[in-house]
This record gives sequence, C-alpha cells and structure tokens, in this order.
Amino acid sequence: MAIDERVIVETVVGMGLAGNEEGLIPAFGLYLTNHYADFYNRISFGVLGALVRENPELTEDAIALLTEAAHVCAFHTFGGIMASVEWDALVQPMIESREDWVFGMMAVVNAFGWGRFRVAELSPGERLVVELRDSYESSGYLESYPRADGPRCFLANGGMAGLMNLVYQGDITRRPALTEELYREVFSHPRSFRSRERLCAAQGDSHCEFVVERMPQ
Amino acid sequence: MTLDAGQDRRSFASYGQVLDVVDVGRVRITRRYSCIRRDQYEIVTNEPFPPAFRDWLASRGEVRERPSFYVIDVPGAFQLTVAPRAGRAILMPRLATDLTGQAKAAREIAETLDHALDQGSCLAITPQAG
Repeated sequence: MAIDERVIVETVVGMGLAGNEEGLIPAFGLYLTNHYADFYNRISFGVLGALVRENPELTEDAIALLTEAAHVCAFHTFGGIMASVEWDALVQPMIESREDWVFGMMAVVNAFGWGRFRVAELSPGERLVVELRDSYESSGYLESYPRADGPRCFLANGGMAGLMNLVYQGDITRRPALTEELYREVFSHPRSFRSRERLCAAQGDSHCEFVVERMPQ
Repeated sequence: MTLDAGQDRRSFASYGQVLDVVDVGRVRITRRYSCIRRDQYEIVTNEPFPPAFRDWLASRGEVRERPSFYVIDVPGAFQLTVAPRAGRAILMPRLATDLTGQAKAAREIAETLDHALDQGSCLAITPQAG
C-alpha cells in the first residue's frame, strides 16, 4: 500500500479549512459546512425517535431513510473529494492500485475529524471491514440517551457502503460525472454494496465496526 | 464562454451536470451546474501550469500554499484551487457574483493561463486590475 496517511492528514489539517464570508468552506470541489456534531445527532436521532413513537413498526423505515441520506452524502462528498484538484495533487500520486482509493479516502476522512477510521480488512471488489473509534454519532447518542438496543452510526454506516460503491461499482477512478442518474445506477444495482454496523459503542461495544458487502444474488 | 451557451440545459440541470466545454487556446474550461445561482468551472491543460500563472493569481488575492497545490481566495469573487503539476484547477465562485460574472472570471483566468503557457514559465505576467 502506497498511501501515506500521515502526509495526507497533515496536509488536509494544514489547509486551514474555515468558513468564508458566505459561511461555507469551498474545498475538494465541494461546499463543506462546519457545525456541531450534536446538531446533526439531534436531528438524526430525533427523526428516528419521532417515527418510532408514532409507530414502532416504522423503525426499519426510519433507519432506511437515514441510511439512504448517508448513501447520497457519501456519493457526493466522497465522490467529489476523489474527483477534486486536492485529491489529484495530494493523494493521486500515492495511488498504485484501486484499493488505494479506499485507503486514501479513509485518510482524508480521518483528517476531517469524524472519528478514527481504520481499515481492518479489504477484499478487492467484495468486502470491507472498518473499525471506528470516537464516532461522533455513538458518543453523541450516549450523551443524550440510554444505551441503545441497536447500532446508531447511520451516517458512517451508509458512508462506508457509499465508498465501496464509488470505488468498485461506480468506478470513480474513471472520474464519472456525479449525477443523479449515476447515483441511481450505482446504488440500485442488484449487486451494489450495503453496510451493516456489526459493533457500535452506542450499544455498549468498545468501538464501532462496519462490514460492507455486495447484496446477495 | 457565454452565459447563453448552457442556459437551456441549465434550466433542467442537476448537480454536477456538464453545461458546456470551451477551449481557450491550450486551456479547456468545463462548466458544471452547482446550484441555481452558481456554476463550477474546471480549468485543465495537458501540461503543468507555469509559475508565472501562480504569480499572476497571487496579485488577485490571498494564496494558501501546500506542498502539492495552492488555493487563491478572492473574497466576494471566487476561490481557485490549483494542482499545478497536474495541470488542473477548480474555480468556485461566490454567490455575490452573478452567472455572467462567474463565466467572465473563468474566461479571464483561462486566457491568462494560455498566455502564460505561450510565454513560457520564466516570463512574468503583468498583473491586471480587478
């Protein structure tokens, strides 16, 4: 593996990502925002709680909605980053294989401070296992609610599926236009990737862990 | 590049969709739909950007330099992220500018870059107003 995570993290952190006079952060070809993790958590867990209170049978639907939001987010955010000028200059020269796209993206994510992600296993084109420590979703959940009866890192979970879909299903290495049509094509494919959070700190595990695999035939 | 060129496509465009592609000498500009008030411009050449181009940009705004790329921020106008060795830059306009002004800024940058490529990297470019 040629990816030097330390160099990537130091460079991204040193970019001084901060809001401009519009309140946005133009970086990686995207308009990023900086807000409290608790703000996202409140909305995310609030949606889940509201739907479950309305009808407990809606639990799976609520989780599906939050996961779909994560898929869309990953498609545009991770896809945009991997198509960006910054990626071209910083990460691309380190890339020697398709798998390096996964490791490179993980390094950028770690620089953003969304938690400490680590690839535990990567079977090219088939399976990804990622460990996550200090997840802002699980730690945020435990700050406001009792121990969960199931995993709660909906954004990180969908994000990992999105990453594998971009690299192995949508072939981001060819730099396709990140359009709605491509999103539907990639994520609706019967063999596209889905992720499940096997371990979650919100339910008492030591850390969070995601297993990403293709949907069964 | 004119605003009219992609106007019809713009009415029905979704995020990331290519609106038009224009060559300015050796520089290619690709305009993509970003939102109803803003497009994004990719500026690409088949060769590295010359240092003189960076010097000209530095006369326009604050430069944030990293080892492999740099960012020029012109408050109220745009941010330009440049990977000089890859020959690629992304112009992200501010909302304070209208679509015509955004296209004009992209064209001016492309023309200056093309001129810098013609002149070679050892010649300075006279800073322009604006």
